[in-house]
Parts: sequence; structure tokens; C-alpha cells
Amino acid sequence: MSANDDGYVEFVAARQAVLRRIAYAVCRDDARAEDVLQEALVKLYLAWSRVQGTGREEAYARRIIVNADLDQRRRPWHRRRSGVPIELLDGPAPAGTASEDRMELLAELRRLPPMQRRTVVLRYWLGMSVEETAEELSISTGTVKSHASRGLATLRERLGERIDVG
Amino acid sequence: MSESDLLTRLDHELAHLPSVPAPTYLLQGRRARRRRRAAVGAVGVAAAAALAVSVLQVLSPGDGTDRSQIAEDGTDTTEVGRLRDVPLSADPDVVAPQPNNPVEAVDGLEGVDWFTTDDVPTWAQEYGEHGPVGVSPDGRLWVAPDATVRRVVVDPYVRGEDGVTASYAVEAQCACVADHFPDGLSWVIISTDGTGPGGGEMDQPGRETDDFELWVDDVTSQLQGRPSLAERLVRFESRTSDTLVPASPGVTIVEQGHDTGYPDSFASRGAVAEVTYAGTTWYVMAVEPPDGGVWYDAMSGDLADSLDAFVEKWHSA
Repeated sequence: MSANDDGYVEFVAARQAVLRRIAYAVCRDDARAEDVLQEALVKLYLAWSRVQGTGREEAYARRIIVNADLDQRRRPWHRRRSGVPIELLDGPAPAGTASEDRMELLAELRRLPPMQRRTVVLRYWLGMSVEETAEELSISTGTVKSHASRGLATLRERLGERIDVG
Repeated sequence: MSESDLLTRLDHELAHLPSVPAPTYLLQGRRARRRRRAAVGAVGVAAAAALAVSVLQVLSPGDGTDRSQIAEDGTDTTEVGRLRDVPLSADPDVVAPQPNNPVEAVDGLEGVDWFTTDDVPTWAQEYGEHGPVGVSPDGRLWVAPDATVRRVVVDPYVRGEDGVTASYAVEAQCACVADHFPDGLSWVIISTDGTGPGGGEMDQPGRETDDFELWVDDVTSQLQGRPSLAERLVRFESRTSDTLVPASPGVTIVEQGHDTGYPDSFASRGAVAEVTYAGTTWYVMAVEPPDGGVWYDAMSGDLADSLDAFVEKWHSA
């Protein structure tokens, strides 16, 4: 492998877990999340010579992920299975964490409209500022505030409790 | 339920996700890079043929922008624009200009090396679910016990290219697919590199076309450096225009508009059109996201009765 490829593999090994969790949080289902993650990591590879060493590697991939799911309607009935060989996944998920058993907050989060889901994830889960979230999603700060607020209110209403966002 | 913390709860709920060996993504990236290079190579060939009408700027090494592929007259000379010069046949069934991809479906499983099992193997499952077919690492087609195969295209991808050791495109009926597949009918294309069950795509028959072989040609087009169905129907008139023009002889644009239903933050330009070719109608969506990368996609004309209805259906599905 070239030095470039070595660096890429090292980065993916170290940060894919973080990126995968973001993908699962902003995408409507697990399969779509795997697709989006793969798409982001492929694009990162294509841009690696420009991005590596800048300290922006993760941000580059994350931005693709949080904006990619807007594209899901591009092929309305299209259901793409992951190109990753299933046997290469690190074994089955532990009991109680299969998609059908995954707990209610993620399920309710995925029921939110896409932009509300994103702003909630970026603002309250990843801890980005309003300005950072706006830049990440290429929307105004006012739009961030309104979507995040509505999303959070919906989650609170559906979960029937107060959600402490710190 | 006690007061909870969104951050902590999401951390907990997403704590046990699968992981994938990093070299797997490296392989995917390399494939994508090869496809990109192949496309750029095709641009070079097309550029020579088009020299009389446009002068290309010199392709700067390392210049990742599309600027290097733009003609001075603004004509769309990107790889997609050039590749779509491949002529459409008068017969919509003739879809693949490459001789190594004749796209000939066989009825049922005639002559196909296949097998089934009483139970669904673990490797054929994804999140506890399974599709109608799979491909085993040794290249055999696995058919789910609750599936019926109608038609098969053997080796829709070329063996040996991009590491593919076996591939199948299958029209099958199975109760195992999602509810939005009418009568459980689906089109699936799967491949393996010989190291695992591989992956693929599943689509709803009739979404873009009711011609199975045309669908196979479409889904293999990108990897094989050919224009997709939608890219053969229309293209933007130039790199800055939001007007669509026919991309192939025989295509007629019946109507077009600019309301794609996408916000400006998602589409820096876009257009929709109703087109006909060989007596068949399609609706086409063309969008360029702010970060570039024009894409085209098509929907069967049977699924909407106007451009507005098409856009609404597109976004409501």
C-alpha cells in the first residue's frame, strides 16, 4: 500500500465508529446509514490527497454524512444494500441492540423530518454551536434554531418526558 | 420513565454498532477512483471527436474540478455529457453497446448454477432480514426458500473487473421484501468478489422502466462507463444552463420545468422534464448540488400524469 492508503486505512480504523454513529443518528434506517457511511468514506478516499494532514478529515466525512440523507429521495423506491460483505461486520450486534430492539429515542429521532433530525443531532448530541450547525448544513442560524427547537419539542412530546440537553 | 439525557441515551442506544475492516472501504475507494479515471479517459476520446466544435482547456494534473472538462462555449463536456453520445437503439430492449454485456435474461433458473436451503443462512441475512436471492462466495446463486425466480441475467458485471468474480441480476417474487414492492416482486442485482456474500441493489419493477433488461443495463452503466438510462434521455444544455435538451437522437422533450421541489441549499440548478423515446414516456429529474456532481434520474411515465404530479410523487415516496 502507498503511504496515502496507509494513512487512509489508519484514519478509517480509528474514526469509523464515530462516523457510523452519526450516520445511524441522522439516517432514517440502519441500511441507509451504512450506505451513507460508505459513500462518505469513498468520497473521503477520493479527496484524501487534499484532505489528509489538514485536521479536517473527520469533518469532511461528517459533512457528507449529515447532508447525504437529503439525497435519499433521489431514488424514491431504491433500496441499496450495503456493498460491505456482511461477514466482514464484526459479528452480530449484542442482544438487545438489533434494529427492531433499538430503543425508543433513536426510533423517535428517525421519525422527525430530516432537517429537524439533523439539527437535533448536531446541536444537542454532537454539541455544535448554532453557527457551526448552520455552516455544516448550509442553512441560516435562524433555520437551525427553529428546526432544532421544533425537533426537540416533538421528541419531548412523543417520549412524554423532559429531555435534558445539557 | 425517569428524566433522561438525550446525549447519554443516544450514546447508549448507538453503543453497539457493527464495524467494518478499514481495508474494505479502501477497496471501495479504489474502485471509485478507477471508475473516475475510466470516465476521464472516455472524455479524452470524445474530445478528439468534438474538436471541430469546441476547444477544451488543458487538463491540469491534480486539478479535481470540472473546470478542466468545460468547453469554452459552455457546452456540457463532462464525462457524462460525452459518454451519452452512445446512440440509443430504435429497439428499447437493446441497451448495452458493450459486447461483454449482452444483457440477455433467461427464464426462471434455466442453466443457472443455483441452490437453496431450508433455512436462511446467516450470511444471507441483514439485520435479521433477507432478500429473495444471494450469491455465495463460490459464485453460486442462492435462492431464498420463500422466493420464486422469474428471470435471471448471469454475469451482468464483467468477471474480473473491479474484483467481481460472479454476479446475477434477478427478477424474483418473495414475501420477504418490503410492502412497497407490489406482489412481492423485485429486481435485484448482486455480486461477489469471492471473499464473501457481497452486496447489491434492489429496485421496484416499473419505477423507472418495466423492461428488466433495460434496468440491468442501467444499474451496471456507471461501473462499466456507460451513460445511465436517464443520462441517455436528457442533459443540461451547458454547464451553467438549467435547460434540458435531448441527449440522444430520437428523444423528444414534451415539457420541462424548473420546480424540482429541492431547496436551493440542495440544488444549485435543476430541471424536470417529460420525455418520450420509441413510444415510451419517462419523467426525468436533473439536479446539480451546490458542491457539483450533476445527477439525472428517471421515472416511468406510467407513474404520474403530469410534471407536477411527478415532482410530488418523487418527494412523497
